[in-house]
Amino acid sequence: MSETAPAAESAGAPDGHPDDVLRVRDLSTRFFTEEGQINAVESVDFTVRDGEVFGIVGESGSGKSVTALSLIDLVDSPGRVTSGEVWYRDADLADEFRDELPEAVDGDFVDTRQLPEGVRRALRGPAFSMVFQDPMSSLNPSITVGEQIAEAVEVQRRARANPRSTRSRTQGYGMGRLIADALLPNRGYTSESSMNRAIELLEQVGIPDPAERAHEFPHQFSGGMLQRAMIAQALAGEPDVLIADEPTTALDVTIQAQILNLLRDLQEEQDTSVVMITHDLGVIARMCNRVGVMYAGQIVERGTLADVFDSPVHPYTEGLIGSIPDLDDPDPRLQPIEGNVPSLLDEEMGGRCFFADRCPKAMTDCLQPTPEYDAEPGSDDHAVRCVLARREYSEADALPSDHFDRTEEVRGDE
Amino acid sequence: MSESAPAERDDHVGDGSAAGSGGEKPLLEVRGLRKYYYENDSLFDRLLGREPTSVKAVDGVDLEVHPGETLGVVGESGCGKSTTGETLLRLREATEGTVRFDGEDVMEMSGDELTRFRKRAGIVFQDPFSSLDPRMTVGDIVSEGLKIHNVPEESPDDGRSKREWRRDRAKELLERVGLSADQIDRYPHEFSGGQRQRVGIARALALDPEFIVLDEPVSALDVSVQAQILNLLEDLQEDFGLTYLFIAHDLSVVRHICDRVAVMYLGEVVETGPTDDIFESPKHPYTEALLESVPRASVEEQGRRVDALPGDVPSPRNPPSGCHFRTRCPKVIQPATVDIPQEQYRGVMNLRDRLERQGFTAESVWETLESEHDGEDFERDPVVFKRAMREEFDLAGLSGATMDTVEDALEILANGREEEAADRLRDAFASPCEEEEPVLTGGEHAAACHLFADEEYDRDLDPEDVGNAMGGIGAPDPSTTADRDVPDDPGSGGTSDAVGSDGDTDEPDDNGR
Repeated sequence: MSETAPAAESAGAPDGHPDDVLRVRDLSTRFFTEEGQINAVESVDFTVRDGEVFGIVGESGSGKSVTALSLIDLVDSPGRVTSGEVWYRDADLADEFRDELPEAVDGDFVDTRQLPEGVRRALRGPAFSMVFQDPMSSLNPSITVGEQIAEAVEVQRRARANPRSTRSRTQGYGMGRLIADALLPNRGYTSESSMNRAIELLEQVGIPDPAERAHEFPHQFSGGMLQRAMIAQALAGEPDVLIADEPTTALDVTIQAQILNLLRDLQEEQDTSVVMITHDLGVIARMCNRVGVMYAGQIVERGTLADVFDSPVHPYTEGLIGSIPDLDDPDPRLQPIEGNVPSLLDEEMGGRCFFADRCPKAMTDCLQPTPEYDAEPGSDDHAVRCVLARREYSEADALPSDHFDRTEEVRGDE
Repeated sequence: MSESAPAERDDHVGDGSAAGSGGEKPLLEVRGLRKYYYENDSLFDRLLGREPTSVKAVDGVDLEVHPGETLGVVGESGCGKSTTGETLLRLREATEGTVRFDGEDVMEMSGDELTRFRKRAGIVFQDPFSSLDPRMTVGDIVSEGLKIHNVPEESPDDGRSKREWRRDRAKELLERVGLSADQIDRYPHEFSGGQRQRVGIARALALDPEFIVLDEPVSALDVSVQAQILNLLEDLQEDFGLTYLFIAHDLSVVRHICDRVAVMYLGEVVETGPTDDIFESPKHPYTEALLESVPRASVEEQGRRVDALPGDVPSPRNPPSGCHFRTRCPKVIQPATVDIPQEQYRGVMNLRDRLERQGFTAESVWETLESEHDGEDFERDPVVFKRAMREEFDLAGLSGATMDTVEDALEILANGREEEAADRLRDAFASPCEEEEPVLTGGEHAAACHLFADEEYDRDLDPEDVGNAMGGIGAPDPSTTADRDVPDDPGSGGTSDAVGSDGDTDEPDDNGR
């Protein structure tokens, strides 16, 4: 368990900063596939504070998107969140469940994992919302952009009229209405006022001619404009925490700059907390206050931007930073990390540091599971899952370079 | 654009670059390459008398690649960089233009000649997941080219069959690119993305080419794997003396691997030059904006606000007249009759561009205003309309005659006469940038931008040639250049009137070398 949260085994929310809006502890998500169990997210701890941008950076397959989906309970079968707590600060919600579910409430914090499914669902929108990676495939191609946003507005509006009831969302539109709509094509789920709100949202995210563009279909939008529309949709519920999953990966740099500016403006205007997920260290550097680096489903290092970029402890973080060509000062030779990202299959993971097979500083200690330690350099937030936080690297304990080749062969022969 | 213009431009650039590179003969020379795709071009459309419309994917590209160097081609998606790469290898037929490889005209080649060219020039594709046949083993993939080109021609002396020789060669290549020889019988799905890209590189190397087009070879890969592949490409270039054309959108990768860079925008090369020059002192406003936009991975980057380019890349179906970049350019040149702050001029131009090109209507503004008044009675008041427009396009703070014209145009627009409003703005604010297409000028580090044109014409060209090189439209009036931010170039010593009288009003270090 994490050293920074010694109260992990006890009940209640983990200790943390007074400004925390979200405290995640020991979150694990598994996928049960035909090839075996895949440990996509493995005991992840982090916190998100009021009005900050928390970045999660990692390579493809490191589990960053699944972490985001696990936060808002959108993991689909065959995946399942198998353990963990997601403590969300909401005084009203805490009061509501204090008597009913005492173990899920601690002060102003509520553990959303223990809440009933319907309540968790009701939190999506006003508490959490998400901007997905690929705007082209995340919007419905056969409904106008304005109507899709107006739908989100309408859902929030109806939910607010009858808070925390899932019925208000689904029962509002039942079989009868469906049949009526099929026969009478002009009857919509959305009303004029929600459409007007959608146009306002589109204007807020910087879409020119919002009234006209609202009546266009997604294919008539460019990638950057669609990403703006997605952000407008995510803002419909005025969320406390906005999760942005690779919001600019599909975009060109000049458009990326526009979207990053927009996200920053919105975040400052509305004091939203943002969880920014990306593989691009440059985007992290521009946007984030604090960062978590993910590798093989774990957060291997976290801390402030300066902790992670200027005094990294974990060899993976160092390797990641050494792999990027510097635009302003091109180094003659890059320092890549050798090898490939592991498969995350449960049976192949073993109880060791998951990076040991690619690590240039692997030692015999690394064959034990590694807990999260406080790292010496940098701020109090700096924590790392690496034995190097506790001891110096020594040649004497180094693993032979062919250690993992041999164990693989042995496994192959069995 | 007049018909004669491209040819003249070609001549000029040819002279300039040859001088810049010290007379070394380029391995690959591309001149005026165009690739248009046509829509509404079927027999049926022709029977109905429909005019075919062209998509100008590549619109007059000049490139030179010298032996042993890496030329980077950068640009955003849709700028035509991949099409350029494929067209110059004749994987697509060019609409117009010449490509000379080692002195021979690639576009005229046929039969054996073309086969020989294919042996000497290879390509590595972008997506390692779709560019390898899933039903072939990597050994077959790598040696397929050898078989097609009948290499070796004779059975080798050591008693191996041709087939065995090819298989040994494939093993050798796999080891060279960092895979192990015993993986030769595996299928592509058994490899990770980085390993597949290595297979793609091994395939391109099989025939011992001199020249390889690398079409975004690392953009589908994670950073740690990307660094491995970049190092590999550098090693291979050194070992085999390869020449690369490196197509990419990632500027930091380009900076790392390329000797020279060509920046493309909407089918055209807007700036070309040695990598360090382009990255340290970009000339073209588009290159500046691109470099400005890239997020750097360092702590200093935190909270940096970028002056992002407004809007999207225009459609290549109907690119803007004159300079293609003028619709987004922060430094678009004001006509001689106008002298207002650059931001407001940009605002006026944005308004005009929206009216002319994007079907902007007054009605939609009214609708937006109405939706803000959510349900209440809303009277269509032109004053409110004009205020909203001034806010949206940053037009507040104009004064004098300029303000009158803008107010006038907004009044016309508020009455729903969009075309008339556009005409009004066009008459008063037409920029020199939209009248003629800029040409690449400036020798080794050349930019296609009117901001640089005047200075360069004076320095590089015979006075008689100036008119021709401008596409026959005529030399610029010296009085219009006086109030423009032509960079103060100490190298040229202020020899020309335009530069001399200009002084250093506008950030000379942005453009100075």
